[in-house]
Amino acid sequence: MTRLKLIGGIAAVLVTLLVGQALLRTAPSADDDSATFLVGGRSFRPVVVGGLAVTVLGIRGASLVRRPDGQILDTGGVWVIVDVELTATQQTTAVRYLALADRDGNTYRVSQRWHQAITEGVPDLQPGLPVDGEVAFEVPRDAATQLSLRAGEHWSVAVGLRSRAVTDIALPVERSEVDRWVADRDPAVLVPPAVVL
Amino acid sequence: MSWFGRNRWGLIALGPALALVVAVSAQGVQGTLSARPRQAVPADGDGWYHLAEARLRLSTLEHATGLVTAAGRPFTPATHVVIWRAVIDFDAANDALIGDCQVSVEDDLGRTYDTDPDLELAGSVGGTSRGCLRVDDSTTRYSNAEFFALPESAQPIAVRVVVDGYQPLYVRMPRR
Repeated sequence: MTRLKLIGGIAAVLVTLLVGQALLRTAPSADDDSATFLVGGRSFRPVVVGGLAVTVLGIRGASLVRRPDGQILDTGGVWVIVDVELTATQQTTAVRYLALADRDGNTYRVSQRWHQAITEGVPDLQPGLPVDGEVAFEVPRDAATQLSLRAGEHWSVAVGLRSRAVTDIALPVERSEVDRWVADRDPAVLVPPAVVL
Repeated sequence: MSWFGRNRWGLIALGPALALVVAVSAQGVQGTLSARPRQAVPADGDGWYHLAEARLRLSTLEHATGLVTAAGRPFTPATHVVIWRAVIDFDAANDALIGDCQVSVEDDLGRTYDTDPDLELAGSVGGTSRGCLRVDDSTTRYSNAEFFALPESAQPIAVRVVVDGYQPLYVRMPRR
Protein backbone atom coordinates (compact mmCIF):
# COMPACT_ATOMS: atom_id res chain seq x y z
CA MET A 1 0.00 0.00 0.00
CA THR A 2 2.84 2.39 0.93
CA ARG A 3 4.64 1.58 -2.33
CA LEU A 4 1.41 2.22 -4.24
CA LYS A 5 1.05 5.64 -2.55
CA LEU A 6 4.65 6.47 -3.38
CA ILE A 7 4.23 5.57 -7.05
CA GLY A 8 0.95 7.49 -7.15
CA GLY A 9 2.61 10.54 -5.62
CA ILE A 10 5.48 10.47 -8.10
CA ALA A 11 3.01 10.04 -10.97
CA ALA A 12 0.96 13.00 -9.72
CA VAL A 13 4.07 15.20 -9.57
CA LEU A 14 5.15 14.13 -13.07
CA VAL A 15 1.69 14.76 -14.51
CA THR A 16 1.63 18.20 -12.85
CA LEU A 17 5.02 19.07 -14.34
CA LEU A 18 3.96 17.85 -17.79
CA VAL A 19 0.70 19.82 -17.66
CA GLY A 20 2.65 22.89 -16.51
CA GLN A 21 5.10 22.54 -19.39
CA ALA A 22 2.24 22.13 -21.85
CA LEU A 23 0.58 25.27 -20.52
CA LEU A 24 3.83 27.23 -20.69
CA ARG A 25 4.37 26.19 -24.30
CA THR A 26 0.89 27.22 -25.37
CA ALA A 27 0.80 30.46 -23.36
CA PRO A 28 1.58 33.65 -25.30
CA SER A 29 5.15 34.87 -25.02
CA ALA A 30 6.14 38.41 -24.05
CA ASP A 31 6.51 39.11 -27.78
CA ASP A 32 2.97 37.87 -28.42
CA ASP A 33 1.63 40.02 -25.58
CA SER A 34 3.04 43.17 -27.13
CA ALA A 35 2.52 42.32 -30.80
CA THR A 36 1.21 45.04 -33.04
CA PHE A 37 -2.50 44.69 -33.68
CA LEU A 38 -2.83 44.84 -37.45
CA VAL A 39 -6.10 46.07 -38.87
CA GLY A 40 -6.37 44.86 -42.45
CA GLY A 41 -8.01 46.73 -45.26
CA ARG A 42 -8.03 47.65 -48.93
CA SER A 43 -7.40 50.80 -50.88
CA PHE A 44 -10.23 53.34 -51.19
CA ARG A 45 -11.85 52.11 -47.98
CA PRO A 46 -11.21 53.77 -44.61
CA VAL A 47 -9.41 51.64 -42.07
CA VAL A 48 -9.89 52.79 -38.49
CA VAL A 49 -7.11 52.35 -35.93
CA GLY A 50 -7.89 53.90 -32.56
CA GLY A 51 -9.04 57.45 -33.17
CA LEU A 52 -7.65 57.61 -36.69
CA ALA A 53 -9.19 56.68 -40.07
CA VAL A 54 -6.74 55.98 -42.90
CA THR A 55 -7.77 55.68 -46.54
CA VAL A 56 -5.35 54.91 -49.36
CA LEU A 57 -6.49 56.85 -52.41
CA GLY A 58 -3.67 56.07 -54.81
CA ILE A 59 -0.15 54.76 -55.36
CA ARG A 60 2.52 55.91 -57.75
CA GLY A 61 6.27 55.71 -57.89
CA ALA A 62 9.35 57.43 -59.18
CA SER A 63 13.11 57.16 -59.44
CA LEU A 64 13.53 60.83 -58.49
CA VAL A 65 11.68 63.14 -56.12
CA ARG A 66 11.82 66.92 -56.18
CA ARG A 67 11.75 68.50 -52.73
CA PRO A 68 9.80 71.73 -52.15
CA ASP A 69 13.12 73.62 -52.16
CA GLY A 70 13.84 72.30 -55.66
CA GLN A 71 16.53 69.77 -54.73
CA ILE A 72 16.19 66.44 -56.52
CA LEU A 73 16.65 63.22 -54.56
CA ASP A 74 17.83 60.01 -56.26
CA THR A 75 17.54 56.52 -54.83
CA GLY A 76 19.13 53.14 -55.34
CA GLY A 77 15.68 51.63 -54.86
CA VAL A 78 12.44 53.28 -55.83
CA TRP A 79 10.27 56.00 -54.37
CA VAL A 80 6.81 54.72 -53.54
CA ILE A 81 4.39 57.62 -53.20
CA VAL A 82 1.10 56.97 -51.43
CA ASP A 83 -1.90 59.29 -51.60
CA VAL A 84 -3.61 59.03 -48.21
CA GLU A 85 -6.62 60.58 -46.56
CA LEU A 86 -6.32 60.90 -42.80
CA THR A 87 -9.15 61.76 -40.42
CA ALA A 88 -9.34 62.08 -36.65
CA THR A 89 -12.54 60.50 -35.42
CA GLN A 90 -12.92 61.74 -31.84
CA GLN A 91 -10.15 64.11 -30.80
CA THR A 92 -7.17 65.91 -32.27
CA THR A 93 -4.54 63.36 -33.14
CA ALA A 94 -1.78 62.66 -35.68
CA VAL A 95 -0.19 59.77 -37.52
CA ARG A 96 2.78 59.06 -35.30
CA TYR A 97 3.89 55.83 -36.96
CA LEU A 98 3.99 55.66 -40.75
CA ALA A 99 5.74 52.93 -42.69
CA LEU A 100 5.50 50.38 -45.47
CA ALA A 101 5.99 46.71 -44.65
CA ASP A 102 6.98 43.94 -47.03
CA ARG A 103 6.11 40.26 -46.83
CA ASP A 104 9.45 39.38 -45.23
CA GLY A 105 8.68 41.54 -42.21
CA ASN A 106 10.91 44.45 -43.20
CA THR A 107 9.51 47.91 -42.58
CA TYR A 108 10.44 51.13 -44.35
CA ARG A 109 9.58 54.23 -42.37
CA VAL A 110 8.40 57.38 -44.10
CA SER A 111 11.43 59.02 -45.69
CA GLN A 112 13.24 61.46 -43.43
CA ARG A 113 15.58 62.69 -46.18
CA TRP A 114 13.59 65.91 -46.09
CA HIS A 115 10.80 67.22 -43.91
CA GLN A 116 7.69 65.95 -45.64
CA ALA A 117 4.42 67.80 -45.13
CA ILE A 118 2.87 64.51 -44.04
CA THR A 119 5.16 62.54 -41.79
CA GLU A 120 5.18 61.00 -38.32
CA GLY A 121 3.55 63.53 -35.99
CA VAL A 122 2.59 66.01 -38.71
CA PRO A 123 0.06 67.42 -39.42
CA ASP A 124 -2.35 67.63 -36.52
CA LEU A 125 -5.67 66.11 -37.52
CA GLN A 126 -8.89 67.70 -36.32
CA PRO A 127 -12.05 65.59 -35.92
CA GLY A 128 -14.27 65.65 -38.98
CA LEU A 129 -11.69 67.47 -41.13
CA PRO A 130 -10.10 64.91 -43.49
CA VAL A 131 -6.60 65.71 -44.74
CA ASP A 132 -5.55 64.43 -48.16
CA GLY A 133 -1.97 64.42 -49.43
CA GLU A 134 0.96 62.37 -50.65
CA VAL A 135 3.78 60.82 -48.67
CA ALA A 136 6.97 59.19 -49.99
CA PHE A 137 8.80 56.04 -48.92
CA GLU A 138 12.16 54.80 -50.20
CA VAL A 139 12.10 51.03 -50.69
CA PRO A 140 14.14 48.34 -52.51
CA ARG A 141 12.81 47.67 -56.00
CA ASP A 142 12.24 43.99 -55.29
CA ALA A 143 10.01 44.83 -52.32
CA ALA A 144 7.82 47.34 -54.13
CA THR A 145 5.31 44.77 -55.36
CA GLN A 146 4.52 43.32 -51.94
CA LEU A 147 3.94 46.29 -49.67
CA SER A 148 1.28 47.27 -47.18
CA LEU A 149 0.75 50.60 -45.46
CA ARG A 150 1.28 50.61 -41.69
CA ALA A 151 -0.10 53.73 -40.02
CA GLY A 152 -1.05 54.30 -36.44
CA GLU A 153 -1.47 56.91 -33.73
CA HIS A 154 1.35 55.72 -31.50
CA TRP A 155 5.03 56.38 -32.12
CA SER A 156 5.89 53.62 -29.63
CA VAL A 157 5.31 51.05 -32.38
CA ALA A 158 8.60 52.14 -33.91
CA VAL A 159 10.63 51.45 -30.77
CA GLY A 160 9.18 48.06 -30.00
CA LEU A 161 6.59 49.07 -27.41
CA ARG A 162 3.90 47.82 -29.69
CA SER A 163 0.52 46.57 -28.41
CA ARG A 164 -1.10 49.17 -30.61
CA ALA A 165 -3.45 49.14 -33.56
CA VAL A 166 -1.79 49.75 -36.91
CA THR A 167 -3.24 49.58 -40.42
CA ASP A 168 -2.25 46.82 -42.79
CA ILE A 169 -3.49 48.09 -46.14
CA ALA A 170 -2.19 46.14 -49.13
CA LEU A 171 -0.82 48.30 -51.94
CA PRO A 172 -1.43 46.61 -55.31
CA VAL A 173 1.63 47.26 -57.46
CA GLU A 174 2.69 45.24 -60.52
CA ARG A 175 6.29 44.49 -61.47
CA SER A 176 5.79 46.31 -64.78
CA GLU A 177 4.73 49.45 -62.88
CA VAL A 178 7.92 49.40 -60.81
CA ASP A 179 10.00 49.02 -64.00
CA ARG A 180 8.20 52.00 -65.50
CA TRP A 181 8.76 54.09 -62.35
CA VAL A 182 12.48 53.30 -62.35
CA ALA A 183 12.86 54.13 -66.03
CA ASP A 184 11.08 57.47 -65.69
CA ARG A 185 13.68 60.17 -64.91
CA ASP A 186 11.12 62.93 -64.49
CA PRO A 187 11.21 63.96 -60.80
CA ALA A 188 7.97 63.45 -58.91
CA VAL A 189 6.51 66.36 -56.96
CA LEU A 190 4.40 65.39 -53.97
CA VAL A 191 0.88 66.79 -53.60
CA PRO A 192 0.87 68.79 -50.34
CA PRO A 193 -1.77 68.00 -47.69
CA ALA A 194 -5.04 69.87 -47.79
CA VAL A 195 -8.30 69.70 -45.88
CA VAL A 196 -10.90 68.09 -48.12
CA LEU A 197 -14.55 68.25 -47.17
CA MET B 1 -5.87 14.97 10.07
CA SER B 2 -8.40 16.52 7.68
CA TRP B 3 -7.47 18.37 4.44
CA PHE B 4 -8.30 21.72 6.07
CA GLY B 5 -6.12 20.84 9.03
CA ARG B 6 -3.18 19.90 6.83
CA ASN B 7 -3.50 23.06 4.71
CA ARG B 8 -4.51 25.58 7.35
CA TRP B 9 -1.36 27.74 7.00
CA GLY B 10 -1.74 27.84 3.26
CA LEU B 11 -5.38 28.83 3.60
CA ILE B 12 -4.51 31.51 6.15
CA ALA B 13 -1.83 32.95 3.84
CA LEU B 14 -4.16 32.89 0.82
CA GLY B 15 -6.30 35.81 2.06
CA PRO B 16 -3.46 38.33 2.53
CA ALA B 17 -1.84 37.20 -0.74
CA LEU B 18 -5.06 37.82 -2.66
CA ALA B 19 -5.52 41.19 -0.94
CA LEU B 20 -1.96 42.15 -1.91
CA VAL B 21 -2.51 41.25 -5.57
CA VAL B 22 -5.78 43.23 -5.68
CA ALA B 23 -4.13 46.22 -3.98
CA VAL B 24 -1.20 46.28 -6.41
CA SER B 25 -3.55 45.99 -9.40
CA ALA B 26 -5.82 48.68 -8.02
CA GLN B 27 -2.85 51.03 -7.63
CA GLY B 28 -2.01 50.61 -11.31
CA VAL B 29 -5.62 51.19 -12.36
CA GLN B 30 -5.89 54.17 -10.03
CA GLY B 31 -2.69 55.65 -11.43
CA THR B 32 -4.02 55.37 -14.98
CA LEU B 33 -7.39 56.81 -14.04
CA SER B 34 -5.98 59.70 -12.05
CA ALA B 35 -3.92 60.82 -15.06
CA ARG B 36 -7.11 61.38 -17.04
CA PRO B 37 -9.13 64.57 -16.75
CA ARG B 38 -12.50 63.22 -15.68
CA GLN B 39 -13.70 65.43 -12.83
CA ALA B 40 -14.85 68.88 -13.89
CA VAL B 41 -14.54 71.50 -11.17
CA PRO B 42 -17.74 73.46 -10.44
CA ALA B 43 -18.11 77.18 -11.06
CA ASP B 44 -18.44 79.55 -8.12
CA GLY B 45 -21.29 82.03 -7.75
CA ASP B 46 -19.59 84.53 -10.05
CA GLY B 47 -18.98 82.02 -12.83
CA TRP B 48 -15.27 81.49 -12.10
CA TYR B 49 -13.65 78.05 -12.10
CA HIS B 50 -10.83 77.42 -9.62
CA LEU B 51 -7.85 75.25 -10.53
CA ALA B 52 -4.09 75.37 -9.89
CA GLU B 53 -4.47 78.32 -7.53
CA ALA B 54 -6.00 80.37 -10.32
CA ARG B 55 -9.46 81.49 -11.39
CA LEU B 56 -10.61 81.30 -14.98
CA ARG B 57 -13.80 81.77 -16.94
CA LEU B 58 -14.88 81.72 -20.57
CA SER B 59 -15.35 85.24 -21.83
CA THR B 60 -16.34 84.58 -25.47
CA LEU B 61 -16.44 81.71 -27.95
CA GLU B 62 -17.22 82.89 -31.47
CA HIS B 63 -16.14 82.79 -35.11
CA ALA B 64 -12.63 84.17 -35.43
CA THR B 65 -12.85 87.23 -37.61
CA GLY B 66 -10.07 89.57 -38.53
CA LEU B 67 -7.41 86.96 -39.32
CA VAL B 68 -5.15 88.06 -42.14
CA THR B 69 -2.44 86.60 -44.34
CA ALA B 70 1.20 87.65 -44.16
CA ALA B 71 0.44 90.02 -47.03
CA GLY B 72 -2.29 91.69 -44.98
CA ARG B 73 -5.22 90.31 -46.93
CA PRO B 74 -8.20 88.70 -45.18
CA PHE B 75 -7.49 85.04 -44.38
CA THR B 76 -10.00 82.55 -45.74
CA PRO B 77 -9.92 79.01 -44.33
CA ALA B 78 -10.58 75.93 -46.49
CA THR B 79 -14.14 75.30 -47.64
CA HIS B 80 -16.44 74.01 -44.90
CA VAL B 81 -13.85 74.82 -42.20
CA VAL B 82 -14.69 77.39 -39.53
CA ILE B 83 -12.05 78.97 -37.30
CA TRP B 84 -13.30 79.66 -33.75
CA ARG B 85 -11.74 81.92 -31.15
CA ALA B 86 -12.23 81.42 -27.42
CA VAL B 87 -11.19 84.16 -25.02
CA ILE B 88 -10.49 82.99 -21.48
CA ASP B 89 -10.18 85.36 -18.52
CA PHE B 90 -7.57 84.41 -15.93
CA ASP B 91 -6.88 85.61 -12.42
CA ALA B 92 -3.62 84.01 -11.31
CA ALA B 93 -1.06 85.37 -8.89
CA ASN B 94 1.36 82.62 -9.90
CA ASP B 95 0.68 81.75 -13.53
CA ALA B 96 3.55 79.25 -13.57
CA LEU B 97 1.25 76.81 -11.77
CA ILE B 98 -1.34 76.96 -14.53
CA GLY B 99 1.13 77.51 -17.37
CA ASP B 100 1.48 73.86 -18.39
CA CYS B 101 -2.08 73.57 -19.65
CA GLN B 102 -3.89 72.11 -22.63
CA VAL B 103 -6.90 73.99 -23.94
CA SER B 104 -9.43 72.27 -26.18
CA VAL B 105 -12.94 72.88 -27.43
CA GLU B 106 -15.72 70.32 -27.27
CA ASP B 107 -18.37 70.09 -29.99
CA ASP B 108 -21.98 68.92 -29.90
CA LEU B 109 -20.90 65.36 -30.75
CA GLY B 110 -18.45 65.19 -27.85
CA ARG B 111 -15.39 65.50 -30.09
CA THR B 112 -12.48 67.61 -28.86
CA TYR B 113 -10.21 69.91 -30.85
CA ASP B 114 -6.78 71.15 -29.74
CA THR B 115 -5.63 74.72 -30.21
CA ASP B 116 -3.59 76.02 -33.14
CA PRO B 117 -4.51 73.66 -35.98
CA ASP B 118 -1.40 74.10 -38.10
CA LEU B 119 -2.80 72.98 -41.43
CA GLU B 120 -6.15 74.79 -41.18
CA LEU B 121 -4.47 78.05 -40.09
CA ALA B 122 -1.52 77.79 -42.50
CA GLY B 123 -0.94 81.14 -44.19
CA SER B 124 -2.68 83.19 -41.52
CA VAL B 125 -1.24 85.71 -39.09
CA GLY B 126 -2.56 86.39 -35.61
CA GLY B 127 -4.08 82.97 -35.03
CA THR B 128 -1.62 81.77 -32.42
CA SER B 129 -3.03 80.70 -29.07
CA ARG B 130 -1.50 81.89 -25.82
CA GLY B 131 -2.41 78.93 -23.65
CA CYS B 132 -2.66 79.90 -19.97
CA LEU B 133 0.45 82.01 -19.39
CA ARG B 134 0.18 85.77 -19.02
CA VAL B 135 2.15 88.09 -21.24
CA ASP B 136 2.16 91.13 -18.95
CA ASP B 137 3.62 90.35 -15.52
CA SER B 138 2.34 93.59 -13.99
CA THR B 139 -1.18 92.30 -13.46
CA THR B 140 -2.75 89.12 -12.13
CA ARG B 141 -5.85 89.53 -14.34
CA TYR B 142 -5.38 88.79 -18.01
CA SER B 143 -7.23 87.34 -21.00
CA ASN B 144 -5.89 84.92 -23.60
CA ALA B 145 -7.28 84.01 -27.01
CA GLU B 146 -7.27 80.41 -28.24
CA PHE B 147 -7.94 79.31 -31.84
CA PHE B 148 -9.60 76.13 -33.11
CA ALA B 149 -10.69 74.69 -36.47
CA LEU B 150 -14.01 72.85 -36.70
CA PRO B 151 -16.11 71.53 -39.56
CA GLU B 152 -18.92 73.98 -40.32
CA SER B 153 -21.41 71.25 -39.36
CA ALA B 154 -20.06 71.15 -35.78
CA GLN B 155 -21.17 73.45 -32.97
CA PRO B 156 -18.74 74.12 -30.12
CA ILE B 157 -20.44 73.75 -26.77
CA ALA B 158 -17.66 74.07 -24.19
CA VAL B 159 -14.00 74.90 -23.66
CA ARG B 160 -11.88 72.56 -21.58
CA VAL B 161 -8.67 73.37 -19.73
CA VAL B 162 -6.48 70.59 -18.37
CA VAL B 163 -3.50 71.59 -16.22
CA ASP B 164 -0.67 69.11 -16.03
CA GLY B 165 -0.31 67.76 -12.50
CA TYR B 166 -3.90 68.52 -11.46
CA GLN B 167 -5.71 65.63 -13.14
CA PRO B 168 -8.25 64.15 -12.68
CA LEU B 169 -9.55 67.69 -12.07
CA TYR B 170 -10.10 69.88 -15.11
CA VAL B 171 -12.17 72.90 -16.09
CA ARG B 172 -15.11 72.60 -18.46
CA MET B 173 -16.63 75.95 -19.34
CA PRO B 174 -19.90 75.69 -21.29
CA ARG B 175 -20.61 78.20 -24.02
CA ARG B 176 -23.21 80.72 -22.87
